[in-house]
Amino acid sequence: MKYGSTVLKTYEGMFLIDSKEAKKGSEVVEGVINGLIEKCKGQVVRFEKWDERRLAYEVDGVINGTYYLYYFTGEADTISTLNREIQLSSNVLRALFLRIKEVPEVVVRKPEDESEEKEGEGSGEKTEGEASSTADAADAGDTPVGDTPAGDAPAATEEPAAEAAAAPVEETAAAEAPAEAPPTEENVDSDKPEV
Amino acid sequence: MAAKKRYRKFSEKGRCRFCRSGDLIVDYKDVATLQKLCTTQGKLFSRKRSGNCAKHQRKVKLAIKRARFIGLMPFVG
Repeated sequence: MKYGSTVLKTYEGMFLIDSKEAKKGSEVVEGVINGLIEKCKGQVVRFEKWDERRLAYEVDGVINGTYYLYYFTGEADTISTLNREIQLSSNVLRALFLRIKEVPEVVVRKPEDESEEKEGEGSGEKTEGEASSTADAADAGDTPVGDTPAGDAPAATEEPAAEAAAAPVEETAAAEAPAEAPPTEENVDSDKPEV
Repeated sequence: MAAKKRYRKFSEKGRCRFCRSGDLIVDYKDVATLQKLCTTQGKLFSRKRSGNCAKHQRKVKLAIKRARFIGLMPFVG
């Protein structure tokens, strides 16, 4: 797009925010990012909360992060100004900007969708390399995808109850075991004379 | 009589996974696909191991580096 002397380019921006701050209110975070982009002469086309996940490594002492995906247009110096502003802002931990030709209609699938597809796919045709690598990927990919802090908390509270319920079963099984064991031995002994 | 020349059939299986399917695009956001092309330590598989063509191997390399920067993939496993 060309407006007069300035050429507007389309960009994709991924912003990493601390999950604790994102939980306070998505409107606040979105307002901060929108403000940053508009401050740098950018115009937001579309944005969404892409994902909330455990980070692969700790960034500024933060373990859980929320990703916001933005599509915006801007001038040539928008990105350099944005990078400078983001370094000064305390809300945005990391940001990645890519020049794209046009805003895509469908965003690349999220981890939740991938896990569903994996379950549905089953065993298709795979090369040897793929088969081994998918096994590795499944092992490595479980932790970030399935890890939700909100889901862990109730599980921790339920554990004692579950253990308490499981313990009597084990005890009864242990108590029954010696009672059951002698008959088997007797049966064996009793079988011998018969033979 | 000379024996007929046997031409090797071009197999789909031998092609790069990204060339094979039109839907699959190399993207730093597609972590599941990128993890299939990495070791458990997070190191990129060789072309011989992954089966990628040179063009897509370069794209995967760049996508992994972007994913590492934004915290989607580890630098060190």
